[in-house]
Amino acid sequence: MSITTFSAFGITALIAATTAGLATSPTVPAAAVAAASATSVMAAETYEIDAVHSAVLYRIKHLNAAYNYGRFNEMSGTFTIADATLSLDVTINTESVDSANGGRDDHLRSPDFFNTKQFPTATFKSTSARVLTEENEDGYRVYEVTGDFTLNGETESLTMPVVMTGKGTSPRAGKVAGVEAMVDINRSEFGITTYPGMLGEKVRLIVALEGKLQ
Amino acid sequence: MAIPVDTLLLLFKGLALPALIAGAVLLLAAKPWSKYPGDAPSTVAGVAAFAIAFIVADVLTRNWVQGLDDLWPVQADRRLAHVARAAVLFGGAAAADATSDWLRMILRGVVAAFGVAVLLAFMITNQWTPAEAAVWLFALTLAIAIVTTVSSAAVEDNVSIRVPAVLIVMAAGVGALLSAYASKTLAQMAGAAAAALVPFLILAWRRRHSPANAAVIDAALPVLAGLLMLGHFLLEPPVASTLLLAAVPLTLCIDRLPKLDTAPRMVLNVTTIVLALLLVGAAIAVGHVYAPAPLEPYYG
Repeated sequence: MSITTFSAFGITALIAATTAGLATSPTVPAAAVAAASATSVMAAETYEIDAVHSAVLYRIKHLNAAYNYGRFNEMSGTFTIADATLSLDVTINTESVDSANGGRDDHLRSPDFFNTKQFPTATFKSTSARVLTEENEDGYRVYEVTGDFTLNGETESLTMPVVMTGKGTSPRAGKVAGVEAMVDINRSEFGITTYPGMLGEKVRLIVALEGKLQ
Repeated sequence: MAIPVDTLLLLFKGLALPALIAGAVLLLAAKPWSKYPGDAPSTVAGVAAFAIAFIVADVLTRNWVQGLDDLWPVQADRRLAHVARAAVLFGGAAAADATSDWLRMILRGVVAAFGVAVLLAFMITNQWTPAEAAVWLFALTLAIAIVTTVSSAAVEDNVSIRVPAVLIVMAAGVGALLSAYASKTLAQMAGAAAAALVPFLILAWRRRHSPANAAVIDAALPVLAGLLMLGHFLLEPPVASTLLLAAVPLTLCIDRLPKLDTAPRMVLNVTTIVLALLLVGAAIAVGHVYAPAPLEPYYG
């Protein structure tokens, strides 16, 4: 996984930003903004998310000791890459939560956590975006995307760096592209307040999407 | 081994505190300072004692401090306190002596309809067709109103210890079933309801015919029915388990059966409580049989 993509500024900026609460825009170097504004014009391309080659991971601290990871196996939606912007419209099937333990998965689906019978989906719909830097240290363009994240029936605005991780061609799917994002959320803002002593308040979401060109 | 502070705090907020609050309200309602110490806590005191204790426990155990100003929480399980509030208003009026039988039935119907509508609104938007929703809302409202009315009418002549005992057994059963089906939160709320009923046991021991002990049915049953409904639709335990638990309050009608109508009070009380325990035991056993076996150990 190219999570290390964020190592240059993504994680640092994200952690710095989230210390004040919800994730906010990382500091943007002036040179990066200047570079972004000088980019060549590119037609908007919309990609349909390929759930088989995509991942939505979460990370939460357990007993203030170790990070526990889990994932959602089913998601759908699109992302659109244009010259100076990127939009995301992602729907996650909360019933598909997979923590590698059947008993815990049942618990996660209950009203104690995701309440999947009442809220079968979580969604992120971007509302604005801009280019943060034309090329990060791995040579990828980085956007700053703001949007509405709805989980457990509660909607909060999130801002996060989204890296365009590349483009390729598949014999079956045709042209494909990938994006990756990471953001920390406060779970209590989404109505998940159970086990405050056992489980951390901050939850990190790591989203890696591959889509085929529509 | 020392018990963690968080666990102790949760036990205090979810069990000790609701019992203390309900006990304090009943004690105040008994007017210990009065020149007439024969006063017993009224029907309104009975309804209010349970409802206030449950609402406080709901706020504290759910760690829902920020929700105090949230009048309409989106999560259905957080609307249980609204059912308790409705029970104070309409259930309190239904339990009052001056209320006619027909008005009682209507008021209980209002509480039941409100509870069903606010707790199961998500089923209307997510799953049921309009026709299905109408049938479910009507059937559940009618069932809750009838069980509340029948249980309440059955204890008019013989309140005693069996009312709080049966309600506590039911609350404990609901909590055990919902805990087995993976919601510790809903189980905690059932535990809080059971704890809020404990002072009524003491009241029954001190004053056998206190109106508060009969009236608590109008507050506790809508809340317990709400928990059971939520548990059924959110966690999907076996239908048989849900129905067995829903039938527990009807054990209060046992003295209407032939031969038992003339039985001594002690025999009636013991028979009622044993029958309630059997129903709860059967509900949990059925739930246990059909519970999906976890593939790996899970400790929370």
